[in-house]
Amino acid sequence: MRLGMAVAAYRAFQLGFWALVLAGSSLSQGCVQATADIPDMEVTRQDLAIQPAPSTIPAGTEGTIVQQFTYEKSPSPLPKSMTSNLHATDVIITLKQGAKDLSFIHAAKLTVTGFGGKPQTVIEYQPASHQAVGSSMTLPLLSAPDSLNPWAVDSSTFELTITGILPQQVWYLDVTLTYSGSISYSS
Amino acid sequence: MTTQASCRALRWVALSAAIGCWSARLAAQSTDPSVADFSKLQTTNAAQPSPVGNAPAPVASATQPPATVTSEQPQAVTPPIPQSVSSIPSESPATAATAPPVPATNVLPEVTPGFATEFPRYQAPKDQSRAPSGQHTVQPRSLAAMLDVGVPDGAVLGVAYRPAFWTRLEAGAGTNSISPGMRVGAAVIPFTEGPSLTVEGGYYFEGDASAIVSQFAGHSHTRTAQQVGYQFVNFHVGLDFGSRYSTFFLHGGMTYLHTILHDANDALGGQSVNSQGDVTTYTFNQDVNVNVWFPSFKLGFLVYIV
Repeated sequence: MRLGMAVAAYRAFQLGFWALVLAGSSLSQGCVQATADIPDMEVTRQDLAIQPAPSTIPAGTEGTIVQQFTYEKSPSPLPKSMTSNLHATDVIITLKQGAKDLSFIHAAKLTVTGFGGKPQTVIEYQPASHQAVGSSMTLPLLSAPDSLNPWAVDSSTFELTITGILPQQVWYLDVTLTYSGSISYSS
Repeated sequence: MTTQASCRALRWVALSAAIGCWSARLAAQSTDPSVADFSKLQTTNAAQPSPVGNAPAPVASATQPPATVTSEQPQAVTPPIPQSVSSIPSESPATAATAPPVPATNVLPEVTPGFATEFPRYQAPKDQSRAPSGQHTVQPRSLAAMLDVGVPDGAVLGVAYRPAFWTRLEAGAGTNSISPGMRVGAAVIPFTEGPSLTVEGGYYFEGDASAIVSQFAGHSHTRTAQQVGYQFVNFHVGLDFGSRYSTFFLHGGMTYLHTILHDANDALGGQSVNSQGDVTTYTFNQDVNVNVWFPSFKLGFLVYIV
């Protein structure tokens, strides 16, 4: 009997305490400041399908293809009272399917266009001579415009330009943007 | 912007209150010796000869010559020495040489209230709990049991130690209903009771908060919610009532809290799929450190036991 009362009292304390925390946080408007440090976040556009080389280009001949894509919004959108201070650092291109490795790429360029803005080049790639290229490569960003921030803009359009001896069938890439920074909240 | 300014203002108020409390304490020390020197008060009482009964004892001793104490007092407040004790040796060597020690008497001189504990020639009666002026000179209890409840402290049971009447040190252990924790702190109460300033630091071990999260959010991010712990520092101003045997207090202010979201990907990451079936994945590869400033409060009481 006493044990049951003790358990009930503890249960009441548990619920009461955290209800108080929630109520207090909603009532203390104007006095809450929070910062979350995010050392390593990745946003990946999965299985981006790249069309094969145009039939007008003979096999084994260098060609260029341009592919546009977008990143979908985060499944955990930030409330308006939160501010994102994330900065993109690298782009990782990973071959998923359709080729042996990425050594066929002789040049690559990625541009991003923010809402109503003009395109900005964020990576330009040309492999060094005799550079071993596998199925993945990490490319540092030339610049990190705000339009790369997945929580700062509603929508950004990316354009990937690849020059090389392109595969004759559809091939697939993962294009990953890595970020570090923080998210802050103030009320 | 306004809200940030108000937060800054609140912090400045807390800091100003701290400085104000300390200034008040120093001011009290310089003007009212009965309030100011708590440690000296105890020492004086201990060193003062206090024979019980009729055993004669010389009042003028090497450890505490009466004239020394008298000379420290301002002239305006020096009590007139009654005739019955006028032959007691004073600081003057000549007088001390000619006047033999006089057995102590229980004659109660006319003294200014508030200075009674430092009056040198007083012989304490059998009941030593009261000074001639009626003041209590019994040593105050300094060790207390303490219980308080607050945010983010949870419920904390601990001990408090009062090294001086204006300050209090405390340590305790408690629970936030997720995990056990501990807390230490110090409080300044410049007027024994009334306004106070408290700084405390606490640590709560990591515990499983899945039940709490599912209770309030309706779902539980299992891995993240299974390891919830935090450290915090309270900067509180408040009111403390009662000083001798028990104290009730109500404190409020700002708290700095640090916590780590383990397996943040479990709580924040995920996938988004558009109508064409394009998939974008958000991945958090490392733990997320969270630092928060927020208002906090606490209420509790102490019972002095020793």
